[in-house]
Amino acid sequence: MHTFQTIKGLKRAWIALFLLCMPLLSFGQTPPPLPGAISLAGSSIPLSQSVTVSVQEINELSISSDVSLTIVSATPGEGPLPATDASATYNITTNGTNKKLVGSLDSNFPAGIGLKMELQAPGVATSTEQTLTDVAVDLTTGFGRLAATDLTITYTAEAVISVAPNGAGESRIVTMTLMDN
Amino acid sequence: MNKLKAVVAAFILFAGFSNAAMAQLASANHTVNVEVAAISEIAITGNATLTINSATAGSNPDNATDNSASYAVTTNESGVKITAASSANMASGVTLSVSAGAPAGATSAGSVSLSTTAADVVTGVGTVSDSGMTLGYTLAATAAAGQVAATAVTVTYTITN
Repeated sequence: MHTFQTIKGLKRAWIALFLLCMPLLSFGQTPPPLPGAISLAGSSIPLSQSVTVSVQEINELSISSDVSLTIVSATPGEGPLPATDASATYNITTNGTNKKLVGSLDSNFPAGIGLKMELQAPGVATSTEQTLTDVAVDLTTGFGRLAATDLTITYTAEAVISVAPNGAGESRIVTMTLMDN
Repeated sequence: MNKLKAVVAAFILFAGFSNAAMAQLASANHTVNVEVAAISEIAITGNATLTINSATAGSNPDNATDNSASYAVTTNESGVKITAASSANMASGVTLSVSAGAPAGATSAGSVSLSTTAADVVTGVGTVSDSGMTLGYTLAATAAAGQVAATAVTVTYTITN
């Protein structure tokens, strides 16, 4: 009987020792919570964030430099020979579709003087040589979503024989405008 | 009612401006200068050959003529004239003359004897482009000049102010 009680007492002692050691064992396996962290029991909770991205329509156009053309010669018996200049260029960026470029003068040249303009077409666009006036005309049509640089602008100046020499010349401002087609 | 009309009209006007502004998406400009310089050009077509080979008894040899050459001229100036000079003077008793047709608005000097000194053949040329004007040459020789071997001379035409 006494032996039985001794065994029973040892059992209880081992169980008590095990229960005392349990917190120490678990402390060694699990890192302590970070300061301020919320303790979540059992499962993870997904976090989501809404990010809104937009690209607005962008249309940019620039021209490189001014241009000067001089009509200096003629074939005898015929009118003066045209003067041509292809030194100016333009840059264009658009992320829109179905655009066109138009051109116009701030005011017309005197009678007998004509200025034609032709643009190197960006991408698959179509360009047409046009005589410039103070009314805008289509120069390049049917393009979109492109960025191109150093596209050539070709000017051709013409004069009929009745136009007298005009000293330092006549200057006009040529405006190119990017528009919806 | 009038107030409503005014509001509607203002809206339509605004909508019009708004559409116009939206149509032009970007623009750029630069200056283009066009100069027309003084231009005066002349060209000659054809050469001439003149041979004196007959006479009426009792008179000096018959003149020889050649009207096969012509010239073209273009000028955007006013008060221009055309002069002519030969590369060498003719032998004594031999005369080479030219009569140049005038372009529109100008005046021909008629038959002008050629020498190494430039002489006016057409005056009053201004802002014209014309072609096909005749250069009529006449060669005259006196009996005293005797025979003259075939000699080529160059006749130079100059368009000048």
